[in-house]
Amino acid sequence: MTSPDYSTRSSHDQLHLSDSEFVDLLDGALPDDRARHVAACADCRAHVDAMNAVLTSASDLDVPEPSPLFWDHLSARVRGTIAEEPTPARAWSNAFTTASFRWSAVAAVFALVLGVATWRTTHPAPVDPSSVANQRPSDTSGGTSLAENGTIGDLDTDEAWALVQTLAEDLDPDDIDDAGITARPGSADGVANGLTETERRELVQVIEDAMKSQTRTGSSS
Amino acid sequence: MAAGVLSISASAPRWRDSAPAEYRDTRRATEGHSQAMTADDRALVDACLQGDKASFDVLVERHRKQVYQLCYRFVGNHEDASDLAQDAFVRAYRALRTFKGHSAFSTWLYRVAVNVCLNRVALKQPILEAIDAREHEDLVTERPDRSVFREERAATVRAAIARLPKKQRATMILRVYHELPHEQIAAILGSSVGAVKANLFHALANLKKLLQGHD
Repeated sequence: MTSPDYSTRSSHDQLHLSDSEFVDLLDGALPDDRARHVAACADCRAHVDAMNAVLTSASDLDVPEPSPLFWDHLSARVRGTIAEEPTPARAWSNAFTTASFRWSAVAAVFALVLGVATWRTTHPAPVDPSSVANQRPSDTSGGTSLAENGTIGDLDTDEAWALVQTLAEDLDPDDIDDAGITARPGSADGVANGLTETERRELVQVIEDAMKSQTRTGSSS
Repeated sequence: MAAGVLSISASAPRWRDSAPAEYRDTRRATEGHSQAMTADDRALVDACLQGDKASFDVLVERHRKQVYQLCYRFVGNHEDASDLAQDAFVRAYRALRTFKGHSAFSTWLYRVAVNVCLNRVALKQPILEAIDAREHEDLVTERPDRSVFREERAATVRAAIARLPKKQRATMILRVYHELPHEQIAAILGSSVGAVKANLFHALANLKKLLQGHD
């Protein structure tokens, strides 16, 4: 058992009250050791007396009681105003209109699109067994074009893909930019370097098709 | 504890931690309304969010006196206090979906009302009600000269409080007049208990300076 540190305790007792301790004293919540200091310290006592006088002056102020009719009148005014207001929506239903939801949607759509693209490039689409039967054993490319198999056309009837398209159509590029979803420098190179030869050829084909389609659209309009 | 060590403990205002009785006033005729009146605030908020605007009536009836008095403390006159109280309730209704129930509804409502008041006083210096405009309840029993002195003193103190910085004024009003515990004031003002105590201390110190010339 160690003996009490009287030197520390003594210096603590000699300290004047802090701002917070003055308030504690007014609350009647000051610890006894600090109260003993106040009892012995003329400066602190004078300060407390002055604060107490101010507090008493301030406490004397009453709010005049309004007319008894006022309360119902106030209620009626509030009722009349909110009658014209729409019902406040719950936070979860209103969340669909918030910026954070839009950002989350942007992120979700990008993640989904990225996932679909990755899946498409790493998993061969199911092919007709008859065509497999006719395939030469030496053909080991495994990169059968999705377009050739007709699976891209199936996306048009896919409900999940339709949802992704609908969400994507509503996205504002500014929201995407605000959300910080941008490609880092070198990202495209990193992705391209990770593709197999077959995947790279498919990517080139997709880009070329897209550019042709864009050119056709531009020239026709 | 220091209670009894100094005479201040006996003479200083005693803080109350519970709401006044009129805060829970329950009077209405219809059975449905009676049920609403006995429902807790959280249930009434839920009912409002489901489209039952009458539930908000009950919340208004339950809290209107406290909100009005809070507003009056900020602006010092009935007309502005009445407008601010109405504004506070309407804003609370619009923002009702943001009430998560982490604190009491009254704490949340106080926060809305304090913000309405602080925004108002930031735009407009309070017009303190003239002494004659207030009711003089004690005139019958009090000597006229004493009454006038008391009213003049009250007007001086009101004017001094109106000159306090916003946070100090809000802290002072919530603690001294509404007798809220420091923790609740901290929740209302979005600050710490330490900051609330510091603001109260400085509010009293500033008030002392402002009132020195009038003693």
